[in-house]
Amino acid sequence: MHNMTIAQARALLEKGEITPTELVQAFLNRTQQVEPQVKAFITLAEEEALQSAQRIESNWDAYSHKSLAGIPGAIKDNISTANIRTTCASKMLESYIPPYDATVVKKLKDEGSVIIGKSNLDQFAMGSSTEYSYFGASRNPWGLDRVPGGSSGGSAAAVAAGQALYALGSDTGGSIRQPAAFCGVVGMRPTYGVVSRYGVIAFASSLDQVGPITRDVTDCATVLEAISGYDSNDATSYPNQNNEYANALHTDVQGLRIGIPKEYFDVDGVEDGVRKSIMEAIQVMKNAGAEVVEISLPHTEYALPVYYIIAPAEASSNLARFDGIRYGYRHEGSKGLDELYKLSRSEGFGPEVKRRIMLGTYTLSAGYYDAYYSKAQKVRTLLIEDFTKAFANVDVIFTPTAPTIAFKSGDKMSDPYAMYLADIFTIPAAMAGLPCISIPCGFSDGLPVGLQIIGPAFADAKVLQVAYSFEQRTDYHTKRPILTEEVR
Amino acid sequence: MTVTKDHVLHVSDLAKLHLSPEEAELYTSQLSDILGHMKKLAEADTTGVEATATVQDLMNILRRDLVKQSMPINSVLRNAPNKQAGMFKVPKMLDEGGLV
Repeated sequence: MHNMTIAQARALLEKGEITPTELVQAFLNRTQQVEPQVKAFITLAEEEALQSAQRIESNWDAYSHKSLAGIPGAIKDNISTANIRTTCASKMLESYIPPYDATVVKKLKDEGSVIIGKSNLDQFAMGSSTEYSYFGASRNPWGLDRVPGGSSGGSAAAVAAGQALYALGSDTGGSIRQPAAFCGVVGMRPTYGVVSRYGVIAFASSLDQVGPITRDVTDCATVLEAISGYDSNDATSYPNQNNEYANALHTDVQGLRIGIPKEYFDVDGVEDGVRKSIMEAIQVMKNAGAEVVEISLPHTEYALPVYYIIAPAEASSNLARFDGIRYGYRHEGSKGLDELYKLSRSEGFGPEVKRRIMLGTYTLSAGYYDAYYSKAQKVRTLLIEDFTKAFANVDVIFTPTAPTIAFKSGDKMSDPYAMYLADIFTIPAAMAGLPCISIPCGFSDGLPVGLQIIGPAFADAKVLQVAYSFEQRTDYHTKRPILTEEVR
Repeated sequence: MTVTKDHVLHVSDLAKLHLSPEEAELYTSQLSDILGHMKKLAEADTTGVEATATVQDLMNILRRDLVKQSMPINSVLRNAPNKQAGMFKVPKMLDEGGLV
């Protein structure tokens, strides 16, 4: 049962062949079986999940028409869930229990979904491997000695391992798409403003977006439709959205113009296996009738430095709220207020979080602001203009999601900048606020490769449609990892 | 741009972080390394280019100023590390000499 998609589970529920309780119990059992290997979750909410499933089951007539009725999902642990602790994978919030649901969680519950647990991440969503979690690293179901990517590594691993039918992730510079690529699942970052961030613990507010991680594109459209829409509690939420995504899926690509940015293929460090899979994917679309055009995004080489100035600068400001006074970790026995702040923060935050707060505070401080922060904001404009020019000529852009397949655990832990390079292809679209998706497009050394599809702002439905048209011509999305537990 | 240990200690004070001597050494070398990679930005010609603070064209998001139900006080205080009589409790911060 754990190999199903949401659509398949919905069909069984509608026919009455399984009940919501049976479905949720099956995923809880699966999680119990594989969690010791995958370590996808920080907190499991088994009791609450079964209670919700029973409530939905006993009110089935009221729920049966809803898109996620009885569907078990995992929520990244930086998204607030009322009465289920939300840790951001940190000591700072180790025992924090939100008094309210994030808007996305409320919307999922309204659609009848059952939250089975909170998935692991790099502390405060800062990282690309999930190794920076205070609660220990998650593992890649396709190779347990490999990282699942990050920061939404627990979410991607849970979906890949069949522990949940979908998960929510958050994406600041690639934290949905890169782990989706590493774990062989679908992960989408919607247009900035499409999904509410109310109740999502902020990292870099000009960049953060929430999005789905699923088995296939159909499920991705279903979950995005459920979580998107205007929310007056988020001042960056976009009014007047057309968020009908599930109906937009079709396989026709006649006349579609796909841009291939040469800068994404010239970069040193793009593995041959990744390059080969992407080239084959492009060929699939050509054969289907799409037109492929070489394009240039000339400022791409600046994207990484721009991101690692802007995101830590915003983080240093956002994370100032963790002062040990109202919630979160407090150092007891401080002699005064300043000492309380400093010791609470130093003991509550992990090394990468402190590194980024330091980096952000440095680039915002007097004497460095113009050379770093202000300069980065201007180059961000150039990166956005690159995309605007490109989309005058093409409908979507294809790139690799990441330059490599999932790397080995521990490989990049001693060199922060090497870890940052894992986001090199996911950062530019995030800087521009564009909708983008990673879908499975092949394997290299037995590990999944992700294809990134980027569209113009608010063309989320188009991105999903193009992804669907590729998926329906290939079978990569039907592959599942074999965990050693099953081999034994 | 070389980051010195004095820079790092100044910045940690601004960021309200207490650094151990080992952390101060480590961040001095790591921030130098990371900021070294940022030098590349100087190559980009930004003459006459506007800064981007947000990708959106939304401005002045207004709402009616209505009285709404707020969260009950026990929910607000639920996660407080220390509380008393419906308030957050903090260590003494003022004495006769001013700030503690």
